[in-house]
Amino acid sequence: MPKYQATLLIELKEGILDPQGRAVEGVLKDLGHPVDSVRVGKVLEVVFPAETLLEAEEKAKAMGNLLANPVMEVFTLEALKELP
Amino acid sequence: METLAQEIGIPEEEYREISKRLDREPNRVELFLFKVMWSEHCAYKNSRPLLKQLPKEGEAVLQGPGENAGVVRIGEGWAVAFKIESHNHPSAVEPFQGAATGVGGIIRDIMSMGARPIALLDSLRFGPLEDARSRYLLKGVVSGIAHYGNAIGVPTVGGDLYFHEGYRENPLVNAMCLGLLREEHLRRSRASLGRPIYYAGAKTGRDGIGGAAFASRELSEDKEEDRPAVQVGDPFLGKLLMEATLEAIEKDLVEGVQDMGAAGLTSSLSELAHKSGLGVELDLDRVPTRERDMGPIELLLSESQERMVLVPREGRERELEEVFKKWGLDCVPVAKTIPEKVFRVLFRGEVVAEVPTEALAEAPTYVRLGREDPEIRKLRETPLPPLAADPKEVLPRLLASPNLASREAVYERYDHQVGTRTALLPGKGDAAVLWVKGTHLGVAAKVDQNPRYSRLHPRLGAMHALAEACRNVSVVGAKPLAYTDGLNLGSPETPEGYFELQETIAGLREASEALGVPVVSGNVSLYNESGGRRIPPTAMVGVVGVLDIRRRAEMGFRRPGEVILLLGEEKGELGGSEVLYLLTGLEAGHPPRLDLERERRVQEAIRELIGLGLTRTAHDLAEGGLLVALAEMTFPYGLGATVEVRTPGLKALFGEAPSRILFTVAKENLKEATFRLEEMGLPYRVLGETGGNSLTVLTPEGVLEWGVEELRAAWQKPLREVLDG
Amino acid sequence: MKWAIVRFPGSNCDEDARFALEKAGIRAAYVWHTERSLRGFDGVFLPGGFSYGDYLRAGALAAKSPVMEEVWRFAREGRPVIGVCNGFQVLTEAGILPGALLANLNLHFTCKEVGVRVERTDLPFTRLYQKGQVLRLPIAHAEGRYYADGETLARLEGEGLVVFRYAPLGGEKDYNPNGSLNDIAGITNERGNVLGMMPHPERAVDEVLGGTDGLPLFLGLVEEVAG
Repeated sequence: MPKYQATLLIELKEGILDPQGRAVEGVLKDLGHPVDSVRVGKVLEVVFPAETLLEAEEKAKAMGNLLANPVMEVFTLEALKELP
Repeated sequence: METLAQEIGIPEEEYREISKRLDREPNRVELFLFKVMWSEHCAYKNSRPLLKQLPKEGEAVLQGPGENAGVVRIGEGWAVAFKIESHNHPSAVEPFQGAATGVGGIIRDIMSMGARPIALLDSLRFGPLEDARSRYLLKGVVSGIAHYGNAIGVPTVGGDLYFHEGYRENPLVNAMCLGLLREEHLRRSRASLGRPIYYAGAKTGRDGIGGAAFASRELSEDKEEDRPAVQVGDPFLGKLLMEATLEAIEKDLVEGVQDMGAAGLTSSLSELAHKSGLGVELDLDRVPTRERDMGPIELLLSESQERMVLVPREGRERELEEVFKKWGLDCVPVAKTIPEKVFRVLFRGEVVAEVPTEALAEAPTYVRLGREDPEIRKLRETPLPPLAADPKEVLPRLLASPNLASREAVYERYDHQVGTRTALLPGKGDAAVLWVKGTHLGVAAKVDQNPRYSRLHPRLGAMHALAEACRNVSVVGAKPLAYTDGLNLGSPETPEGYFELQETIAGLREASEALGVPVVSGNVSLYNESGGRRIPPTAMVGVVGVLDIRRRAEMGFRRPGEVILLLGEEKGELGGSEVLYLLTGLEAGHPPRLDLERERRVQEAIRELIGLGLTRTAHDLAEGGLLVALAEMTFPYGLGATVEVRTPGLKALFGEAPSRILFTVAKENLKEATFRLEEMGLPYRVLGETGGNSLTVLTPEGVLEWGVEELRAAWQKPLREVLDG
Repeated sequence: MKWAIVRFPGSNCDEDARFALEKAGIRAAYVWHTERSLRGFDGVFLPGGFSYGDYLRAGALAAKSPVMEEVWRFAREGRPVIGVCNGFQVLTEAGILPGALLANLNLHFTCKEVGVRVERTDLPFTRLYQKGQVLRLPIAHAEGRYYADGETLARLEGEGLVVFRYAPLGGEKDYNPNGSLNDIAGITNERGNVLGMMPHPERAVDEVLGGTDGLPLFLGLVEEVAG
C-alpha cells in the first residue's frame, strides 16, 4: 500500500490564552525584535499507509480530530503528500 | 427583559425580587450581574442560613469566614492563612486546566490576605479506578496540579484521594492552600473612600465567561456547546503576580487586596465595595484586554486567570505601579470608591449598569424542607452478612484496593519540598508539617473525608471527617487550631439533597463544638449530580495545627526493639468499611460510632506523649483497621513488627473505629508512657515490638506472617500502573 | 564572602539557595536577571525553578537574559558558578556547560530522594565529601535527562568532568531517575569552577528538612577562601 505523509498543525483556538506564546513574545521584544504577537502550536508529521490520496486525507483528518483537544485546540491539515 | 431572565436561568421570583430592589426593571447588563452574583457559587443561597450555625470563634482566630481566607495565630507574631476551594465543574470538562486554575485560584486567595503561600493540599474524588474516564480524569487532574503548583513554586505536601461509584459522573477537585504571614501584614478586602482601585496581572479575555453560574448547575448532556471558553492557567505569570503583590504588601503600598476569581471584576469589585460600606465606579474602557471588541458583559464576567485587585495607600500609587512594572505586569486604576453605595459601570463613557451593592451582595436565601432518602436509610439498616475469608489473603488485597493503595505515584509528580519548609514529606506522616524557618514553630495540615461513611450517614460522616483530620494533625504532634470546609453536595433543591446539606453542616457543628476547633474559611459546591444521582455528601475538612518542630512524630517504624502500643480499643466495626466492600461489594451498615469526648482526650494524650518526647512514631487507624495501619507503619523504612491480637475474627483485624492510634516507645519509656495514659483514664494495649523485615501477627486463630516487601509491592502497584503508564 | 543569587522571572528555589548559603555562613543577595554587573560578588548561584515558565524549552529563554554575560565572565575568569536544576538547564542552554537536559524518560515531573555518588573531591564544591560517597539528595524536575553527543560525552568522561552520578541508595536497580546518559547528575567545566547539577543540595541542609547531605557543598565554598 502506498505511504503518505501528513503534516498536522495543532493550535490553540482563537481566544484561548497562550501563556507560552506570551512569554516568547516578551523575550523577543526584550531582545529588540519588534513583534506583534506569538502563538505557539505543535507540528506533527505522520507517515501512514493509504490506498488513495482521498483515503489518506480522511485518515489524516481523523487523526487530527483525535489528537487535538476539542475543548481548546483546533487542527489544520497543512500538507499531505505521497511518499516515493 | 423577563424573557432574557428566563433564558439565562434566573427564576421568576428572583427576577421580581431584582426589580423590587432596583425599583425598576434591570437592563441587560444588570441582569447578568445578578445572574452571576446570585449564583449559588457566589451567593451561598442555600447554604448560608445553615452555615451560620458553625462555631467560628477561637483563641487563635485572627480572621474568620467572609474574607478571601481564614487566618490563625501560631505564635511569635506569625500567622497562617488557609482555605479550601472547589474547581469541580471546570475539572470535569477539562481536567488539566480545570485543576491547574483551581490551584492558581486558591493561591491568589491566600496571597490576598498578605500571606506567602507555603503549601498546597488536594482533595480529589473520582469514579471507580477501573473506569477509563475516571482514570483519564485522574491523570489530567494530577498533571494539572503538578503543572501549576510546581512551576509557581508552592509545594504540594498532602491531600486525600478516593474512588467511589458516586463520583463517576461528578469528580471533585478541591485545593487547599496555606500561607504564612506576619500578623502586621494581614490585609483584607477593604478600601477607604475616594481611593483608586487598581487592576493588576494578566489581561482580560473571553475566558470562562459565566463560570460561576456554570459551577452552580448540573453538568448538562450537551457539554460541547454549553461550556464557556476554557480558562487557561499561567503559573509563570501567576508567580510574577504573587511576587509583585507580596512585595507591594511588604512595602506597605496597599490598604486592601482582593483576588479576581469567580465572576471576575463584578464579584471582586462589588464585594470589595460592599464590605467597605461604600460604592464603586468601574470604567471598563481602562481594563487591559487581550481580545478585540469585548462587550461590557464579557468584560464584567470574564474569568481570565492571574488577576488581582489592589487598593493603594494614599500617595503610594506611583510606587505600586513601579513594583508591578518591574515584574512586567499591568497595574492600572480601573475604578474608584464612591460614597453612594452602588456598583456603577461605565463603558465607552456611558453608564451601562448601576445597582446597589447590597442588592448584589445579599442574594435571597432559601430554607427548604429536607427529607432523608429512604434508599440510604435502607442501606444503613441493612444487616451485614458474616464475613468469611483468609486474613492472610485479605491484607494484601486491602492494601491494593484503590482507596488504600500507596499515593506515591501521585505525590512524586508534585514538588513537595520547594521553599525548604517541608519537615514531614508526603508518605512519612499522617499530616504534612511545614517549618517556620528561624523559629521552632511548625504548622501541620491535613484534609480528610470518607465518602462511604458520609453517604450512609451524612451527619456522622461529617463528624468523622473533622475528627479524623484533627486526629491526623494531633498524631504528628500538633494542636489543631481551626479548619476550613469544602462542602461538595448534590442539588439542594431536592428534599434528599437538602437533607444531606443540613445533616452535613449539623455534623460539623457537633464535632467542632466538642473538639473546640472553629471554622475560619470554606467553600460550597452544590449541584454535583447528574441524571438524579447525587454524589455522596462530601465535606472535605482541612485542619491546621501548630507544633514545636523539634517534637514531631512520623508514621514509620524506625528503630528495632521498640514497643508498639495501641491507644484505644482492639475492636472495629464493619458498617461502611473497606473490608466489607472488598469482600462483599457492599457499602452498607451503620458507620462506626464516634464518641467525641473520647476522641478529644485521645488526641490530647498523643500530643502529650509526643510533646514529652516519649514517642516519635505514631499513626492513626483509619480505613482497613488495625492490620492496614500496622502494614503502613512498616513501609517508610522497611522495618517489620511482631504483634499479638487477642480478639478473634476479621472484625478485630480489619474493622474500623475512630479514636485509635498506634505508637511506639523505647523500652525504657514504656512505664512512663503507660503511666500517663492510665492517669488520663484512657484504654491502651501493648501489642508487640518492632523489628525484622516481616509483619507477624499472632491471633487466637493462628499466626499470620507477611514479608514487608511483598506487602509494599501490592500496595504500590495499583496507582503506579495507572499513573506511570 | 558574598554570593549573588540570580532571579529570573519564574525562579522559585531562590529562597532555598539563600537559606543554604547563609546556613554555611555565606552572605547572599538576590540579583534581578536584567542586571548587567555582578561586581562585588565572589560567586554566582543560578537557582532552580521554572524561568519563563519553562516555555519553549527549560532554561532557553533565561539563557538570553542580560545577566548571563556576567555569568559568562565569571566562568571565564575562574570564579565559582553553581547552577542547580533549572540553573543547570540555563547553563547548558547558554553554552557555559556542554550537553542538554531532555525530558525525563518517564515523561513526568519527578520529586523524590535519590542517591548521588561523588566522583571528584578536588573541587571547591566537593572538597568536604569523600570520593565515592553516596549522598541522599532530592530531585524535582521534568527535564533532567542529561544528554550529549558521543564525542562530548567521551571528552567529559576522559577529562573527569562528571562530578556527580546517580547511584543506588540500597541496592535498587532503577536508581537513575530520568535516564541520564552514564547516570550523569552533575558536571563541571575544564577549569572546575562551574558546577551544574540536577539534584538539589540546597534542600538537604538541615535535620528538620530530613537530611544534611547537601550542606558540605556549601561549607566547601567557604573553606576555599579561608584556605
